Amino acid sequence: MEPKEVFDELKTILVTRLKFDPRRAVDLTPETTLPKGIESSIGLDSLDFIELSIAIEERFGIAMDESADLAPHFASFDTLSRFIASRTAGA
Amino acid sequence: MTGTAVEAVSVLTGWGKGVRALPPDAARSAAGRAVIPLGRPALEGERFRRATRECLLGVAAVDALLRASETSREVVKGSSTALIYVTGGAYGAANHAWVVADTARRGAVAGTLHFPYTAPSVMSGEVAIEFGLTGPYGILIGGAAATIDGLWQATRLLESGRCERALVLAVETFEDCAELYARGRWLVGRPLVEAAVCALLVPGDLRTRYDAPRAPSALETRARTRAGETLACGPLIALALGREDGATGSIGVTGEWRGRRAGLYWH
Amino acid sequence: MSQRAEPVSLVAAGVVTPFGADLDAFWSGLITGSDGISMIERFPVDDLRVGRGGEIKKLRPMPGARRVGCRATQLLLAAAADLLARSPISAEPERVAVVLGTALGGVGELERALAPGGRSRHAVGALYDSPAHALARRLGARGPVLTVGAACAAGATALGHGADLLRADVVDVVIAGGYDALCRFVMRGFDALRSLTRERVRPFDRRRSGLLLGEAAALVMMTREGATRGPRLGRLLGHASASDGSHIAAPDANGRGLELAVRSALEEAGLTPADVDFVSAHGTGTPLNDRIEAEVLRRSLGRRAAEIPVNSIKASVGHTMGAAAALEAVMCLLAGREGIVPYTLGLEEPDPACELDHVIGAPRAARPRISLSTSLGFGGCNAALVLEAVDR
Repeated sequence: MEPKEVFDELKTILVTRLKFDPRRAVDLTPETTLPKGIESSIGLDSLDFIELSIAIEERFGIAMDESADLAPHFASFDTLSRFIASRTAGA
Repeated sequence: MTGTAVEAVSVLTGWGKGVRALPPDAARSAAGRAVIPLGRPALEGERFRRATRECLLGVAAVDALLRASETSREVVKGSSTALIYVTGGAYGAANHAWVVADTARRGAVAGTLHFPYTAPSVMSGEVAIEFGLTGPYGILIGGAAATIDGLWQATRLLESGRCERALVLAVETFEDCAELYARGRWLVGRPLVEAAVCALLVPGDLRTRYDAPRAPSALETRARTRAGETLACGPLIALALGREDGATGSIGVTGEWRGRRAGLYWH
Repeated sequence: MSQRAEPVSLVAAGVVTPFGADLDAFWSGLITGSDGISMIERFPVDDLRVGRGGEIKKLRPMPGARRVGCRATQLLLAAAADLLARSPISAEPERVAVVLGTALGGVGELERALAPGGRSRHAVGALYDSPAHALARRLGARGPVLTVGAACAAGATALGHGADLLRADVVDVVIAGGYDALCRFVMRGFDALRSLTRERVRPFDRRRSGLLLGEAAALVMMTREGATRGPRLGRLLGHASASDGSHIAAPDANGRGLELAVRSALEEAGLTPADVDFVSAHGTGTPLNDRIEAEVLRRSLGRRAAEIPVNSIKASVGHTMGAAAALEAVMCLLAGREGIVPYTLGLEEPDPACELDHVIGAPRAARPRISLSTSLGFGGCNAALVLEAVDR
């Protein structure tokens, strides 16, 4: 999958699983940061990240290694899309 | 001041806002409907995207209370405000959905974000977060008798100096679990009226007497006649009705649940 | 500044835990470092990432009792049988209150109500306060019946409310405590939160990776001081609760609610950190909770933090949710009476970030008179109890 396709899927997950308003999803760009506490981020907290990880596992068929530090991949939609795209590339 | 006083009460029910929205006779006005719903408050902000309707109703009731009593959010914020939350069944909707999702094995009900909201403490937790309440709390589960217990707890916290003000909040929703309530119809009256109510207690000159009366007080009966079955919200609606009558000091409220009636009297 | 409260007597206790049917089995299991965790057998868990917990494998049949379907109620009745065998209730029915803490209430009955063949009694049993009313009926208690729904900190506040009822002379006896039963509802829930460990529970250990749930019921009989002659377990000197007001499912990053609860409970007890001999920590074994709790304890106990033994029993019987704080209160009083402090099962390599005087590897000979018990729960609930043990 290409990062752009992944990004579109992530926007869908944001609405269907993380309960964001669909109108908000339209405004998002790959540069939008994810974690709460960062200015202009979409404001996800630890609970959101768990739900997001589970949704990613289910939607993209990849397994998240819980022992690894995945935080850098979850910094923005761009980093996350690339991470997921690279994991699905070999599949 | 070694006693307490009721400063204000806010009432939101399926009939509308305030006790003036209550019909003269809830059963007649219900016209056969089993549940009178309250809907979902339109609260601004992405902050509430995950929260259940019950959480939003709690926030709305506290918000209405602060406006009605002209108390600023700054005043209640912090560790000097106690929050006592009482409900007979507001946890039902989230719990019901959780069980149903498990049976269906669908991912439609977001698991991670949904599960915490099955806990009654998360409902009051969302209120604490919204208003910055970091003082003592109480979370009592039960119908109207539990509300009397909660009001009494609030007076104890005030009188012992453990807080400077206390919010006693009750929320009830029935729509999502209407079928379950229908199965236990001997336990609850009709119509079931969704409500979110909040009382503000402060230090005052009145002492309270907490006891176990046999019969309902006139206010308890009036609240039930006018509002319908509101479980834990009943005594606070009664308090509001009494204040509407002009009762400025001595007031008593009673509440019954599962064969036990409790009463709290300011005198 | 709040007033000092009158101490309240804890006359006796009765429990049922994964270690067995009564208080003796509980204490013996703790002292011998038993592991109460096993594969859950009572309901399907094969689709969950973790299927282990502190499951009670066998319950004693209740003699002469109508068959009780609700598991939570079964646990309560079992604990009550243990309690009453040690100390019968001697007060008028209207002067006996029941105050119980729970995280799940009658949720097991909700599962049955919504399953094929679900009956009306399951719908009623699904109410969170149904088990408390069932217990009150069985005990013939006709005073207040309270259910505290403060999640995993509920057991502490149940004892606190019970003490208030006695101090105000509302009742003469309070049967207080907490309970929760394992069920698919909660296993699936904590699985979804990714809170459960796939390994061992290791409170405060640098390798800790999560908690495991357990089931239990723990009841204490409380009276005013001087109301009973005969052996007492100890006293409740102080209780306090405080909200974090920051997150629904994670503790405040600075543990401010817990710190306030600890400080307020000590104040109510008329004591200072210098008086504390032992701390029963919440210690679930989750990376975040343990670190924050340890930081709060170090701040609260000050210079003495390095000398006050601390333990957590959550690896031994699992995190028993509504029962936990009540169970831990009982453990504090037994430690004081028996002169032995149970060690923290699963803790082998303390995390430097959780530095405290942990009881590791073997029980410690110590006779704590004043104990501090801390608990946290969903919704930003924080509670603390200050207890005093009595000599044998």
